[in-house]
Amino acid sequence: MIEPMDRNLALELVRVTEAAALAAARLMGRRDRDAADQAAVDAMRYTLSSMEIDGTVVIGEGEKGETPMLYVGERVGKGTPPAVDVAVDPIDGVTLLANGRPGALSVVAVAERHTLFFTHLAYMDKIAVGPKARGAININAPVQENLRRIADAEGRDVDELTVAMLDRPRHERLIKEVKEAGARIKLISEGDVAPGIMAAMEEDTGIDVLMGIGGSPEAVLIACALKCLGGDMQCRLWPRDERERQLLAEEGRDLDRIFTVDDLCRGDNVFVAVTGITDGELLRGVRYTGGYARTTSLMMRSISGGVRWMEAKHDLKRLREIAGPRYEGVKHRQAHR
Amino acid sequence: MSDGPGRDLALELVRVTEAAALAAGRWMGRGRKEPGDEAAVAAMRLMLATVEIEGVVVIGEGEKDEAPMLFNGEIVGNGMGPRMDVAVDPVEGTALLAHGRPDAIAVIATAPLGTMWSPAPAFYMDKLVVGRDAREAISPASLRAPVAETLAAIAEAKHRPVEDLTVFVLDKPRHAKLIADVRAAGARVFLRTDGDVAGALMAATPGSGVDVLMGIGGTPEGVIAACAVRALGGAMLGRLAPQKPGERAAVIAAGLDIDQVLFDRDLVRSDDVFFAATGITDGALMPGVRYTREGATTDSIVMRGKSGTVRTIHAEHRLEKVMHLSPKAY
Repeated sequence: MIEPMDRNLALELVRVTEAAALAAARLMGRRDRDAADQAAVDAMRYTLSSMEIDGTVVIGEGEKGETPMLYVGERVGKGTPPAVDVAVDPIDGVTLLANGRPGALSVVAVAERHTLFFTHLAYMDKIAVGPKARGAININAPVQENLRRIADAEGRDVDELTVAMLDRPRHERLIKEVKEAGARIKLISEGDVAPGIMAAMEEDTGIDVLMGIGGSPEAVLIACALKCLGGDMQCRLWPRDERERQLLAEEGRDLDRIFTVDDLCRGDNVFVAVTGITDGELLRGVRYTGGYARTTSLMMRSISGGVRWMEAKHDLKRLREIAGPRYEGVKHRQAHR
Repeated sequence: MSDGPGRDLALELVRVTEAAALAAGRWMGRGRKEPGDEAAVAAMRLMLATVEIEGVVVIGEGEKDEAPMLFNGEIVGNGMGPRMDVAVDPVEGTALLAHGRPDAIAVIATAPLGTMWSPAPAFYMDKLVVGRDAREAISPASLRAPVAETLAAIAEAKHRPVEDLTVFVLDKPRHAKLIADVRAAGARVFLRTDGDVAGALMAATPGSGVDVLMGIGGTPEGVIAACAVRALGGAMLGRLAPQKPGERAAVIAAGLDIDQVLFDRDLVRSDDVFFAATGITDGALMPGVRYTREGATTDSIVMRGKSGTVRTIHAEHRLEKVMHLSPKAY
C-alpha cells in the first residue's frame, strides 16, 4: 500500500517570493535600495498572511525596533499549525537590483520551529559543495587540499572546478590560493545565496564550490537549500570588529566552532522557495508583457528531495482586483521619486 | 492586518496530477488501457486525501457501481477545507497512453460546491473553444454556422488569414465532414485520436500552436475544459450531441435541452476555479513523464481562475518517491 504524503509548503511559499519579486522588480535600476526593499517586504508580508502556518521570523529584515516588518521574532501566517521558523530574504542582492544588474532574487525558507540557527554576528566564513562532494570538505584545511578532495570526489581535475566567492578585498588571499590550486574563479559583486544554491545542485550549473566570507543569514538560507539538495557545507563565525568579538563571547560561541548544515538547519522538514527579480544565472528575472508579468522560481523540499522549477504568468489586472497595487511597488516608486 | 491574497489550491492540486502521471507513466505504450488508468486513479485518490478540501466528485471515473474509486458522488480531500465540486480525469486519453501516443495527461479541476454542471446521461457534446484574443468572435450561432464562416470570424479577430489558423479536431469517423469543411476553409487541421481536454487547453492558450478546437467529444471532458478555459480567459461553447444508442432518449428523459448552447460559464458557474494538469506522454502541450537516473521528471500546468495566474511547473522527483507511486509492477 502506498502511504500518502503530507503538505508541500514549498509550493505555497513560492507565492510569497513571487509577490516580493513582482513588487521589487518594478524598482529595478532606480538606484533606490530602500524603496525596492520596502516594496518587497510589503508584498512578502501580505502573501505570508494567507499561509496556514504558525510562523516566527528567525531571519528577517532586522531586529525588533530596527524595522517595522518581518523583524526577528515577528509572528507570520494565519497562526494555524504547523509551528515553523521562517527565514526571509525579500531581496538577496538589493544593490544589484537598484543598479539594474543581474542576479537579484527573493528567498524564503521554512523549517520546524526552533530548528534554524541565529546569531547576532553578521558574517560567516563558508565552504559549500554539491551532493557528490559530500564529506570531502574541511573548512580548517588549506584551500588547495579542499579543492583537490572535491575534485577527486567529483571525478575530475581541480582545474575543471569553478569556485564562487564575493568580490571583496578580504578575499585577496583566498583568490590567490584558489588560483595557485589551479581552479577557476567566479567573483560575485553581491548576494551569495544564488551561488550557494548553484554549488549545491547536482547538475552542471557553472558553480561547483562556494567559498569565503558572506552573511550569516545567507548561510542559514543556503543550509536550508543544501538540506533539500543533499549538498554539504561548513561555516565558521567571522567577527568584523571588537564589538562582534564581544558578541561572540556573549553568545557563548568561539571561532573554532565549525557549523555544519545540520547545525545551521536542524529541521528534517525544510522548504525553500526562490524567485528571480533581475535576470540571473540561476533564475530569470521578472518580465512584463502587456498586462502580464512572468516570473521564474525554484522550489525545494527536504523530505522528498524533489525540486520544482516554475514559470508563472500573472494577470496584473486581476491581481490588482485581489491585492490592490501591492504587487506593483507603485507607492514606493512615488514616495522616493 | 490584511487577509492576504487567499489560497491558490492549484499549487496543491499539482501534486495530485503529478502523482497520477507518475503512476500511469509506466504503462506507456504497453497496449492495455486499464492498468495505466487504475494506477493513476489509485495515486490520484491517495494524494487527494491530503488536500485540505471537502470535495465531492462531480466528474469522475463513472457511477458508484461501475467505478470502485473516484466515482461520481465520492467525498474526497481531508474533509477539513472548503466544500467543493471536483472533476477528475486521472488519464485523459487512456488509448493515447496505451499506444504510446502524444498528449495523454492527468487532470483535475475544482470549483465551489454546486457550480459545476453535472452531465448525468449526456456522454457527447459538440464544442468550440478559442483563446482570449478570439473570444468576441464566437457566439451561440457559431455552433450551427458553416465552419468557414466561424473560422473567418476567428481569423479576423486574431488579425490573421484563415490559412494561418490551426484547428484541433478529434480524428473520428463522425468528423469526416468537419475535417473536410475545415480544409475547404483553408485552415490547418491538428488531428489527435483522443484527448480533447488537451486540445481545449491548447486552443485557449495563446501561442500553443492550436487556435481553435472544434467537434464532438466527451461531455465530462467539456466541463473540465471549461474550468481551464475560464482561468485562461478564453471562450467555450458546447451543445449536447448524443452519439451512443439510447443516449438521446436518456438525455431528453433527464430533462436536458438538446438544443441549448452552453457557455463555459454555464458549464462551471464560478470564476473561483482551480485547475491542474500533468503530462503523461510527451505532447504538444507539455513533455510527459521522463525517467532519469535520480528518479523522474514531470511537467505540469496549473491555474487559478480568480487571479488568472497560470504556472508551468517542471518537477524533479527522487527515485524513492517514484518507486513508491509507480513500482514496476506490470
